[in-house]
Amino acid sequence: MTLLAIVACVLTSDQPSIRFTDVTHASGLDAVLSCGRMPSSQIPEVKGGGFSLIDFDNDGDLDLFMPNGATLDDPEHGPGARLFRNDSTTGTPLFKDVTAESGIHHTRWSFGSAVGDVDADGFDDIFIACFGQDVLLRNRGDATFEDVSAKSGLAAAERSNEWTTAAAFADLDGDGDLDLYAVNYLSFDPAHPPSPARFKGLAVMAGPKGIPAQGDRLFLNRGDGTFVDATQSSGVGKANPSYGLNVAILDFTGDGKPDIFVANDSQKNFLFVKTGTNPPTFEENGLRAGVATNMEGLEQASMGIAIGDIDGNSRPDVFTTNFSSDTNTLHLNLDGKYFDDRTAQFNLAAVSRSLLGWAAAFVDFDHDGDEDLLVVNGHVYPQASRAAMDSEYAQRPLLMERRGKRFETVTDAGEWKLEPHRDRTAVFADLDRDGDVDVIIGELNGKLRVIRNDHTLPSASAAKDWLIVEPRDLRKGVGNRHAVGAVLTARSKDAAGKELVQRRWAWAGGPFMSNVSPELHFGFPAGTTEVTLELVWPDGTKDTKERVALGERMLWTRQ
Amino acid sequence: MPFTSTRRSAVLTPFRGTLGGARCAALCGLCSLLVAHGAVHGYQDIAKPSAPPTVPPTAPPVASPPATGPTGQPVLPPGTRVVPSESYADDPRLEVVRRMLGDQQYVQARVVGEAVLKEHPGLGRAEFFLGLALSKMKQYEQSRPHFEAAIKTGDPFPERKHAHHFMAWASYHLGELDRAKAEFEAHVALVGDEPDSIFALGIIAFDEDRLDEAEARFKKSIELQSGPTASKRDVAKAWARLGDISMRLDDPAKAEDQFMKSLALYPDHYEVWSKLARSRDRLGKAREAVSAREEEKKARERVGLRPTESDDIKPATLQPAPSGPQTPAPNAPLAPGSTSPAPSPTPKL
Repeated sequence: MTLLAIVACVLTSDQPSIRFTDVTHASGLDAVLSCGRMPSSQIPEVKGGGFSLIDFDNDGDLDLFMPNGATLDDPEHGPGARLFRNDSTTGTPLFKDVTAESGIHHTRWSFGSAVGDVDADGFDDIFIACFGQDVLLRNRGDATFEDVSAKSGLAAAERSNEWTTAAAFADLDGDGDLDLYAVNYLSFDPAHPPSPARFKGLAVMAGPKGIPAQGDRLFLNRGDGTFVDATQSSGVGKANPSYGLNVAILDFTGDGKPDIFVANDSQKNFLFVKTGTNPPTFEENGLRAGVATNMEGLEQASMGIAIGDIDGNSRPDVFTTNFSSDTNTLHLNLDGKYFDDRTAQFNLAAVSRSLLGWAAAFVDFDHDGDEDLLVVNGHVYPQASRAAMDSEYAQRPLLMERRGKRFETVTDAGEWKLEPHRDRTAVFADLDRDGDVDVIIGELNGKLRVIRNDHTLPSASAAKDWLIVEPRDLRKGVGNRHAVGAVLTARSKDAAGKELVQRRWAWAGGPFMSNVSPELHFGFPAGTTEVTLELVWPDGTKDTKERVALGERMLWTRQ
Repeated sequence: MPFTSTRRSAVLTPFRGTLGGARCAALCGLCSLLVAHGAVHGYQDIAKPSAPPTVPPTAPPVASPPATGPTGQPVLPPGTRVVPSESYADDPRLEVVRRMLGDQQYVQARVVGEAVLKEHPGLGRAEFFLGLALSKMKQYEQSRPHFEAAIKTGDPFPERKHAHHFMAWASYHLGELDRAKAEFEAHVALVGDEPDSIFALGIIAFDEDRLDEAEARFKKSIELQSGPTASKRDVAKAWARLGDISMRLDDPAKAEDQFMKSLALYPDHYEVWSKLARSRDRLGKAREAVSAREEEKKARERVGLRPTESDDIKPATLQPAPSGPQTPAPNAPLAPGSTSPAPSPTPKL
């Protein structure tokens, strides 16, 4: 018996603490993220695209929308957007392609997307960030969508030459409905592509530097799902047009108002701090806040965004992914006013030098009470190789487990072998509703991959070690149903009685051209007791739940 | 092209120079180690360069390239003159390569270096210069085998012992901190307390969150460069890194002082102006921070980089400090016998 116990112990200790399995084939998710032709030759062909998690049928699980790309010779007619219904059972992710019956017929070259109930009818709608005029798909409530772009005000003719890469819905003016921040990249004319550039001595595709950047847009919702362009009046238009690729909207300063962080490619990142409410105004403060550049004051090619409380001061820190021969960057939020680049302190610098990072997220994959990190990677230049550019074209995902004060690289993630790919985007959510967070990864012109988290308890009798909470504002007329801007804090005690405080933000935007899950996930170490949840709604109202049982999926509503 | 053996007549003198690239300027003084006559960077603020190696006119040509023996030592073909242990195999074109590196003509240096190596595979000095050219082109993975080969030949060309240093930086840029650390330590073991490798070990300690060690390394690097031939630029780098440590320890006042010391020595270091601005932001010195960012812009222009956009550094609610010239004297001297800059040239920012 003792011998068996020892053997079991040894076997357990040999197992990776984070374990994933690629279940793509069994999941039924059969799709390719299209983006130009291979090998990529122009800059639109290297960005890939994003996904959106959306419960379009209000059945309680998260479905998947993929905007999808096209090709330079026919950017209006790609293979088309796809909608997949989540039919998972516990522990078994399963998706069904319902694009045809949804009424979605969208073939324009698209990149990011955003999800929100823009007309406050109780059903989430979809905004598609396009190379050309953007698109708004209204959810009719019967699992079908209609294109309302023209009447929404989001697809004005003067925007037909804009390249929107990412977008996020949030209540920017505090009136309860969802406004939109649309991130623009650059002016690219397929008929007149720029001449090649050079990187590390090799001829490569041009851009973004040398190509005119496009300014971002901010749209305010009139309350009925139609929008007015408030780019200039809000102050967003005062910022230099930049190569925007991603966005995160949440309260960075701690004043209860939403701020906007924009990841710019090869230029300074923006931090638009909200300064006024009616009308909403913002001041770009990234440089002074210390989040515009890395610690050397150098602009980086920022793409992915992850948000988490990495230093435990209950403020949202910002992690961005960047180009190869550079590092990803972690900016700690020191006091709501200033950020500091602490990438190396947390062991996130050197490990990323040979990688070109895209989507990223902080998630407690192994339910030990701290958040781990997953970054998907892949180079933009088909010529990339370790010998030629110090970085391979196809790259392994970077999985890092939080161990004490630092992150440590995980090389063995169980069945998932962390194979090299040309990855671009990813979304993170408990797709199979078993309490841990799974991942869907999108590869440039590659098949989507469903990566199931196989976290298990130490024994069948062990107590559950997770919580999933979705704040939902059900008050009539409120479009911000997912309570973007809410802050959820979990306080608990470990087996030794030591308090553990974990904080999550309901934010808008996502890992890369994608959206974050509205479900806020916590893991707890074994022996956790006395869990208390405190939810601060976007308007500052506080709710508390004490003695919360673990292993619960909670819809925390506001009536 | 004759393949010659050369008496080791040159005495390697540490070269101090400015750096061509932004990344390099932030991190490395590797070029301060390289050959005399402006090799690598073409800017000197050191007192005296050494004489170049000479090529004996009587040196016989080598019929075929040397092979490598089981110990990694070059095995010259039959008929090759066996040279004394102080001598090393050379090719006159390598002097051209060295000058090209000094003129920042890295692509050309690579081409010539490859041509020499094609004729004389395994020629240690050619391997070294080719590795250096590739490293300066930021092709670090490609550079490493050449540094390895240069070390392995055992050929006692003057720059050989510094191959560890350059291989270390290449490894650093590839994210391989353990290897970089080992190579820097190997370099220090070979040449003694070499300030730039000491500095680099401080960088690695900082990256690995060993702040006490990092601080000690940076201070040692400054101490080692306290003489009259000290490179102001390299001392400035170490002061800037001490400022980084202070920022990391949430002491922006101390960091401000250290960044100013750095800039007094080397005002073209635009990254440090940026750091100074951030330290002042955190101290609530908004106007002074704006002023530092103006200086960052000027420094970028001085080194040929595009300026920072003015609206990034002039927020609508703030006006630039109405002060005079902000740039410290470019050659602010060190106080005699001190590792600290003299108080007088420290700019009032």
